[in-house]
Amino acid sequence: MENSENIERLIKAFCTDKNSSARTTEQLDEKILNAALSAREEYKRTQSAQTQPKIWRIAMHSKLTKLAAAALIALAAIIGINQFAGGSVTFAQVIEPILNARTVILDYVIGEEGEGPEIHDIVIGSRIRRTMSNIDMTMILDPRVRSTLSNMDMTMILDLEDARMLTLVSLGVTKIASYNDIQGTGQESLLSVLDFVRNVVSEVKDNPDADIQDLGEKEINGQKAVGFYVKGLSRELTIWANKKTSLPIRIEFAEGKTSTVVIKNIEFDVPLEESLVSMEVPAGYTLKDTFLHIEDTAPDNLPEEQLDLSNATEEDLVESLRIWAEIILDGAFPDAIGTDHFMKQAYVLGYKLASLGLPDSEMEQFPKGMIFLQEFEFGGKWGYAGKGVKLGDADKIILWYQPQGSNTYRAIYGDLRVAEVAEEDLPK
Amino acid sequence: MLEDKMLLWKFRHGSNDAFRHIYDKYKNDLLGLAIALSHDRTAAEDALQDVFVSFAQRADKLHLKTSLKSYLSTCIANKVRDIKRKKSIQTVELDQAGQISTDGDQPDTLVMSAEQSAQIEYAMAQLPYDQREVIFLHLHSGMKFREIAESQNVLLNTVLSKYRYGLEQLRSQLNGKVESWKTQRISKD
Repeated sequence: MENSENIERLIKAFCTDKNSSARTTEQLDEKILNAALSAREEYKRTQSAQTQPKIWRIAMHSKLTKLAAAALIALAAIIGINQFAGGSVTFAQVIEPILNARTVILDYVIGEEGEGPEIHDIVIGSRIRRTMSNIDMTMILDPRVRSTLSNMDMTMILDLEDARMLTLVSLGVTKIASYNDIQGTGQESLLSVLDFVRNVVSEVKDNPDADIQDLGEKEINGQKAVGFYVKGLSRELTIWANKKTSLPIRIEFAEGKTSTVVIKNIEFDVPLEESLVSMEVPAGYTLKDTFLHIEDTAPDNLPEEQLDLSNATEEDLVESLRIWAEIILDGAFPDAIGTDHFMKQAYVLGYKLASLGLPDSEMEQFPKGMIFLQEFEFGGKWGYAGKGVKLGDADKIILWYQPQGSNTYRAIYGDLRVAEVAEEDLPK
Repeated sequence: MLEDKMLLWKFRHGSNDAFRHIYDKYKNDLLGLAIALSHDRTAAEDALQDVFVSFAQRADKLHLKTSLKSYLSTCIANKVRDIKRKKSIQTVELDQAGQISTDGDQPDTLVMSAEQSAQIEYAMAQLPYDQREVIFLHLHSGMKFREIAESQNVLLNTVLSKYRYGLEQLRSQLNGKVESWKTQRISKD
């Protein structure tokens, strides 16, 4: 009767025998590799379309993205409209619609026309429906998200009376709405670009010493226009009006020291649906409280986004070191290690990982290893000597720590193997 | 294992060379396993292709709990089981055994004779598939019983039982043959 060991040996020999004869052919190799690599390309293409809700979370739950988005939206909400105060003139026909129109449609360009971002406002009373073009909205997003998107649309409904803003963002198939309090920017100075023009015109209108110059005529977009240079108490404007209708068609003013703002495509008292400036969340949008807070008071870790950082192990630390050396520092270990250094490197890692299209798991792994290290960092016995060591250097110990109750140390080498080492053998 | 992790990491970064490296490293072992499990070279090649296509697609989401080799071996076993279920692959007859996967046989490297190999192959083919799978995953692919249990989502004892019963059946089928093979080898030497 054969014993089990004999049978095992026999089967092993059989496997070795069979393996030696089981060889793929060149044709099979080519067929499989082509199929696999093509499948990967196809999978990546379909994944980018299917994972947009996830992309949204990645995009908008990054603190950096939130800050960037907040900055952009805040800028767009208040740009050119909150840095002046309020004068009279003889060109009453020209300024009458500016002063009295209840609804206005206008576009304005910040910077060079054709190059600067263009803002499109629909003004109904104290509310504005604002959209933007000629600006890559996706720049506020995480690069890995950006690369997968062809467009990101954002509409803001500003209620200047209540100092609230409804932001509607469409990111592929995902539509998100959020309310933002815009009191932080100074409610009393929240004016539309139209209000700004109105203020300057009013200053001039009521000031007999105001500087108003006739600029003559010129053609603007096929229309004969008459121009006026107006210098108010604090700001100056150039207004071009249609020669026949006296309606303003173009208004220019300086924004800051170097930039100009051009208001164009102006229409006054156009019949408009009030719903265009409704502060209700439109159908199809999901209201998210946490999308954006201009003051950035949103909690960083939302329940669904919390990373699983429990049960950190030595393996996680080794993986963190690999990621740090391989991804962040191109093959070299950092000069120093620890929570403060980790905090400084987290964003570098984030963008490197993002630009490389790596999965979230790599992002999770990095902090997890650092959490394991923290156990020793604050009160334990550990050391680091990775400065100048390259990843793969099997002779050099880069990090060591003493587990609780152990007489020896766990040492991690440059090739990331781990060994038990006596204290006297550790780097000095 | 570290090298595999690096290769996988590089592949996730977009390196197709890393993928080719992984493929070259394991293709023959996996093909051997697939042939051993299926007794059908065509089915084995299909399984190998399906596993690598799936691996290429899912590489980003892959969280390796075991070695890459163990992971791929498990995938092969699962794939062969699927193919077997679909094609209702039957156990081979003795006269068919030994004809399978003999392409490219290199006599100099063989440890056992074709007859011996055919006898074992036949004996293996008589085993229930799940027992054969456990035996091959352990003895061919070097997977630990715990890894097999985790990959099949069954209890460790279940895996150990299948292994034990499988070996028992093989022992019963090959009873006396091993000793005679030993004797033959000694007499040849």
